[in-house]
Amino acid sequence: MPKLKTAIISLTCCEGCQTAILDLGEKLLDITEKLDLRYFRLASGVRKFPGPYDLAIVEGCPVTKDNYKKLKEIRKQSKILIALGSCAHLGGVAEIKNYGDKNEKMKYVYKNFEKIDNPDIKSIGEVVKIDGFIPGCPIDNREFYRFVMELANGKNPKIAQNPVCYECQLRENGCLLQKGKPCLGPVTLGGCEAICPSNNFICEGCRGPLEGTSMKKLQKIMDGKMDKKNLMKIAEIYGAKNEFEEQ
Amino acid sequence: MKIKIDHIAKIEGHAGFVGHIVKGDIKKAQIEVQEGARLIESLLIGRNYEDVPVITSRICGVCPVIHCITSIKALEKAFDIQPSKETILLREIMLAGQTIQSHVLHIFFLSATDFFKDRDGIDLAKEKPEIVKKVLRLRDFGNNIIKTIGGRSVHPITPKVGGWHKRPTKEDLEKIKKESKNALAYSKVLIDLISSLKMPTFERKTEYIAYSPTNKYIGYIGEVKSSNGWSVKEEEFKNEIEEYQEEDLVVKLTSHNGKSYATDALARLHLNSNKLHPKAKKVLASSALKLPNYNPFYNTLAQSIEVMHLVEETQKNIEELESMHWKNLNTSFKIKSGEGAAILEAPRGILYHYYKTNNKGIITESDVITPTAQLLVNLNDDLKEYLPRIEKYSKEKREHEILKLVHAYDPCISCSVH
Repeated sequence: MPKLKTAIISLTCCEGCQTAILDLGEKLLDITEKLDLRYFRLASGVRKFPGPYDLAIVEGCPVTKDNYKKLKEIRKQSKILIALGSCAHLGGVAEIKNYGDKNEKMKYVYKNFEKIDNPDIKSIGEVVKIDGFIPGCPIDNREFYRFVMELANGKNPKIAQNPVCYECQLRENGCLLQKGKPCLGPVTLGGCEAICPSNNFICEGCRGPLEGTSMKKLQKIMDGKMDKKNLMKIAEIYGAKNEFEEQ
Repeated sequence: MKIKIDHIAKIEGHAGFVGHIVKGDIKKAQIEVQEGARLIESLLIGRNYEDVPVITSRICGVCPVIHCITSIKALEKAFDIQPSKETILLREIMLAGQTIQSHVLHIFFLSATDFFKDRDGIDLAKEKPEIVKKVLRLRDFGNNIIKTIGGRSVHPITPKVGGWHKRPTKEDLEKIKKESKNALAYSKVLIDLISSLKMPTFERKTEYIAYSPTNKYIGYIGEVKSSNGWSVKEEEFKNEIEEYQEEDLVVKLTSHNGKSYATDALARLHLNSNKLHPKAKKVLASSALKLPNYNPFYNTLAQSIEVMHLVEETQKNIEELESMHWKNLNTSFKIKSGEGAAILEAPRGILYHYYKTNNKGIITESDVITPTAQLLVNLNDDLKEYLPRIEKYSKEKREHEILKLVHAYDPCISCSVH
């Protein structure tokens, strides 16, 4: 099987997912043995790689007109398009502005704002068709490694539909919900090794909801002790509020 | 003649370059920022203070720790919290880890590669596996520090206002100390590699501004100092400089008395070099970097000397922590209305965070000034002076020289816009 011509491309974001990939260190060199990694701006001097790509991995969400143009062009040029991290998958922190007055928010930061793009934030899947996603803010680079290695071997990688609680219990963490903390673990897609609860911090849903679940389920689990509005305020952080609404 | 570079690779975020020369006269030479505005400061308004370190970490995936900790420092001032000595030391160790990993990424992958034929970190890794392995392990050392204390290397989890969600054990720190011996040796390998590169000869005098800690080269408590002799408290910094937005520009730039200034590793060396640890001090003394130095290409060498210093600093900080109680790492506090401004040295220079809260701990005002927003004006001024020297070069060589200068600055465009 020929190596997949691959590009890792970022739209507007913090580039933490690219950094997490780079953090693979020597293991990144294994990936470059299996994939024909043509474009990876954080490590490579190649400035342009217009495609076509066998595999395009896109982090960030579209904010500027150029971002939109680029995203649509990437879709045209790629066989497989994967959303990388919360911004691409859910909208990410930038989506918080959708839940308030975005023009007010723009004016708070800039005096001259007329020419600055200020669209509603969308995940890339709301703009173009995606073929899969690697969730998280940031991504778990071990999951990334497994995911792309399976793609390189012609497989169709899947992320198991388990809640964050599943791995949290395996790690024998004390339950934050039982301590009365608003942890989104029961309704959030696992695979992160429950890294936040393992560090005594609530799950804030950066990997998005489990299939077929919603925040209502969490409210039931909590016997209505937590206001849905407060839980949704947490889900705003990674742009997952709309995803956590009842399907 | 018009020079246009659409997309600059090997920087964090998106930017291009435009230059315009008419009969040897530079009409334009500047970085064009192509990043979307995420409006991070305004996203915090109306949210609980506990969300602030979580959201501001996401300003930058390369330097999340510094945004996280600087926001906490500012909020602790707003709530009149005095963090424990242990907490301050742990934060300093984490910040050292951050700067080590960010510097090594920049020095090796983004900048030094410009001096090799391939200009590409991954290709160079295959070509010089022995050096690269050591460099990667040095970067891993920085990342491991962040992971050990912060729970994760990108976007740390454990730091919070008042202290920690979860604290490391003394054994965790002992492990870092053990690893530091190799890291110190690898930092010398990196310094030797950078010292062997022939830096372009170019100088333009500028003002250096850096956060200068009382007894440390890089540290938690200090004040802002300038190579022009003035100093201000961190709370006063915003009044000392001018922040402005040129029309349509998505970055708010800064100047001091109407002029550009530098805030980066070179600025820190100029203002704080007497506080370097012995090994780093010795390396500086025998290096080609003689102070004062106004050649921005030396920023990379300055960074690599800082890496060595920070490994030494981490050893020292861990030793100090070992002798402490570790009983009350977290400080209890009452939420109140207040305001706080804080500065810490990010890998790329001065980072300023400011917050105002109401009596329920809800954010009512926020402001962030990043190092790249400050140093872009200085970079543009350098580009204007550098361009005439390379005007006669072939298109490819000229572009390469422009990129070399841009890369030496290590700009983080994601941070600058945020």
